[in-house]
Amino acid sequence: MNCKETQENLEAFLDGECPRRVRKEIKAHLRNCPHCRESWQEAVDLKRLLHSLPPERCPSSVKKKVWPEIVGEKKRFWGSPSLGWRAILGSTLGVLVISLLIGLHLHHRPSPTYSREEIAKGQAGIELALAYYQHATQLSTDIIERETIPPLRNGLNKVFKTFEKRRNL
Amino acid sequence: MKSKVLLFTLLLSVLRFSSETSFGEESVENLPGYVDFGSMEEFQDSEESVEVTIKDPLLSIITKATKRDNPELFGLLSGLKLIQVHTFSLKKSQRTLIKEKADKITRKLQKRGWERIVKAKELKEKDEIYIKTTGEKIAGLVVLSIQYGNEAAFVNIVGNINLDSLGKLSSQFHIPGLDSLDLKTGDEK
Amino acid sequence: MKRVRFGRIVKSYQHSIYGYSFYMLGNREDAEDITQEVLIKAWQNIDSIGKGSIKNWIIRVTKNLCIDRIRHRRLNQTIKPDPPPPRDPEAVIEGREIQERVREAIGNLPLTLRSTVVLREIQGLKYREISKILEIPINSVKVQLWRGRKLLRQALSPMQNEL
Repeated sequence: MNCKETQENLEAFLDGECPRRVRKEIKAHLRNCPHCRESWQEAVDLKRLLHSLPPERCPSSVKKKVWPEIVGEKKRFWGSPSLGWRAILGSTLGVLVISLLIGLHLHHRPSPTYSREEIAKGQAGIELALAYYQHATQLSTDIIERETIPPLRNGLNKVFKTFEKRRNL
Repeated sequence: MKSKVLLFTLLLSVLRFSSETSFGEESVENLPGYVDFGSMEEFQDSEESVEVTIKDPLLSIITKATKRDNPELFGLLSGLKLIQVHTFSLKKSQRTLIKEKADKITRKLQKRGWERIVKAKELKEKDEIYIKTTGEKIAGLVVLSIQYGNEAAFVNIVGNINLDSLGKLSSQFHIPGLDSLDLKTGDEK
Repeated sequence: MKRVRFGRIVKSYQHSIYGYSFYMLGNREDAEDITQEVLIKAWQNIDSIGKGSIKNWIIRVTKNLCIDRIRHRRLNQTIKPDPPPPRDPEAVIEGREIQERVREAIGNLPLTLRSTVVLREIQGLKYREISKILEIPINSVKVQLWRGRKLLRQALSPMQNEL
């Protein structure tokens, strides 16, 4: 793949939209072409900037404003003068009976079963989660013991020696 | 008037017995300790990867299974709602991508009030642990572990977490090589 | 069932609608208005939208409402951007200021390019999805992204040099 083809496909490559064969060719070209690598780096930097934007969450106030519109529609339906109250009562009773039947059916629905393999996989997943926690805390402890404590000890020793000398003078 | 009162009572009963999911029902993904790590598409090419999500009812079954042999693990798991683990092998060329991914997650956590309790950094490795507290309790924990050119892991534990128990129990476990785990597909999503 | 389906739609799409609207319009108040309008329209049309096409429908309606709002603004000169934070030219650029500049740069893109860039970079949609929503060929999506990113790089390069 030459520079022109690489440049044409660079953005699609970064977006994960290239076929595998093209991806491999681009990667191989980038390893050997500083100019295209620079273009790639610029594109990556821009992506990084764009992805540094925090995700925007819709405020809950919007949902609260939407709900009355939906309830209002239902109220208008129920209050409609064209529907007799007997018809409304009848259909409500019907819905209640059906809901009761569904509820009873669901209450007696058997709980899902899992195979031994699935349970073993779940256990392995939990152990893996704990292992990574252990690894992170252990690394932190190792760094403290290696990088922080010896200089601290050496520093304290120097201070003590200085005090000793002054006391002896 | 009487018919309106009866109608209102019946409507309440219908809602009460309804088995449908309603607008805005709480699920484990809405809990404060849950983190959505987002798409892992960029790492789909990884030679090895593990993606596991364990929540109820599977989590309850596993918890009960530990009661007799490991009461301490049972105690820890009893308070949990969800555990998700995403790990994948990394190539050296993916350094920038994985750093971006981790930075994005870190910013998300910081924005949502998560607190970093561990940061360990070496030349080729970076590990961080974050917790989310609600009042005095820990409602969630995240581990980000990156070994450049080797592997990366994103772990999220959701529920009532006891850090002391977690520390004691986790010392029994060590990260195996990814190829020793046959966990290619995500479970229980 | 309608309520159930609507509940799922709100849960799945409210943040995407809000996020897209925010980056298109540049302020939260308008983004909230658009989100509310889209959700109400979704409720009103829920029976006629096919299950497989809800995502495309929602994004298309959001985009159209945003464009209408922008045109309305231009006609009536009622632009209400969120107040920009004060800038200290000597201060080290901090995270928030970077975000503000990036948002501004996106907001200054021409409408068509802005929409494509937001759908790709913020919403994370694939080229094929963007092509279906905007009803343009995939090649046009690529060209618009290329142009949009070029403009963004030009707008943001002074900032990147300062970092």
